[in-house]
Amino acid sequence: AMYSIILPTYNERDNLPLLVWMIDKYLGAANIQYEIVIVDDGSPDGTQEAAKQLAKIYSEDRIVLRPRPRKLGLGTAYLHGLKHAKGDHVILMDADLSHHPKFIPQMVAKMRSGSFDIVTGSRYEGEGCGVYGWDLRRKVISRGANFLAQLLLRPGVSDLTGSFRLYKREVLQRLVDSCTSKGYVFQMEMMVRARHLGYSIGEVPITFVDRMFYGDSKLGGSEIVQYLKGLLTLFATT
Amino acid sequence: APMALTKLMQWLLGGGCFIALWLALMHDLIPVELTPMGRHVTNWLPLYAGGLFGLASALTIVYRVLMFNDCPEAHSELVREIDEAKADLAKRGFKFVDPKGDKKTS
Repeated sequence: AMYSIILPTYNERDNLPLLVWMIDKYLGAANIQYEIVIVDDGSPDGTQEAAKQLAKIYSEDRIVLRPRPRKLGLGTAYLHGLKHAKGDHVILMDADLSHHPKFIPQMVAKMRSGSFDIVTGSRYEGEGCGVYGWDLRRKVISRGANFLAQLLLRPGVSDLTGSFRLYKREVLQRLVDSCTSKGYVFQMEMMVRARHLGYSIGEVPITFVDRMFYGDSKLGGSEIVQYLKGLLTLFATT
Repeated sequence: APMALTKLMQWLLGGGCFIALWLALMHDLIPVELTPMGRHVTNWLPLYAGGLFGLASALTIVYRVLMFNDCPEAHSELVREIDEAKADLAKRGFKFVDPKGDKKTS
C-alpha cells in the first residue's frame, strides 16, 4: 500500500521542512510507503524553494512539488493533488504543524483493523485527544458549533470540522468531486456525504496544537456566519 | 439505502407531529384526565419543552467546555521536535531562511 500525503500550502516556508522531517521520521519508523504531494498556490515567501531543497534531501519520488499560479481554493487543491498522487491511500492534513504526523501510523492501523473507508482524527473524543492553544472564547465557540452540527446533522463523527484524515483514494476522489462548500463547511460536507454514500468512518483521537500564528486563532464573526450558513445548507439539502 | 428525507424534513415532520399532538390535547380531542397542574403544563407545553431543551443544551455545552482536554505536553513535545528537526535538516544541507530576510547557512 502506498500513502500519498496531499499538502496544500501557502506561505509555509518555515513549517514545511519541519513537517516533512517529522513525516519521514514517523512513517519511516512505521515502515509506511509514502509520498508528499505539495500543492503550493504561488507562495511569495519561498515555500517552493524549500520544497525543492527537501526533494534533493529526501528524493524526488518522495517530495512531489506540483504548484499552482495563485490561491485557488482547498477543494481544487485536493483535486490537483489527486491528479499527481500515485498512492492508493491519501492523507489530508494541515501544513502548519497543528497536525502531528505521529498519528498517521495510528490512522493506518485503524483503517486496517476496522476495514474503514475513511479514518478521521478527532480532537474531541477518545483517550489522548486534545487541543493546545485555545482560549475560553474559542473553546465555547467550538463546543457550541459542534453541538449544533451534531444536533442538526447527526453525522456519527465526533469532529466534523477536522481536516486530518486518511482516505482510500477512490473514496476521496468521489467525495471531492461531489462537495462544493468552502472552508470549515467543506470538511463537514465531506463527512456528511461520505455517510450518505455508505462509507464507513473510523476515528483516532489526536492532539491539535494551534500555534495562533496570526495572533488570534482566525475565528472572527465572518467565519462564524459562513459556518452557520454552510451548516444550514447541509441541514436543508442532505 | 439513501436517506429519502433531508434532516430539515425530518425535523419538520417531527415538529409537525408534536404540534398536532399538542393541538389535539388543547382542544380536548384526546380523552385523558388532566390535573390542574397537568392542564397548565399542556397549555404551555411548547414553551416548557423549548425552555427545557435550551437549558439542557446550555448545560451540555458548559460541561464540554469545562471538560475540554488541554494538551500542553503536545506543545512542548512539538517545540522539542522542531529543534531536533532544524538541527538534523541543517546537517543534511538544508538552508533555512532567516526571518529577517538573510539566508542562513548551517
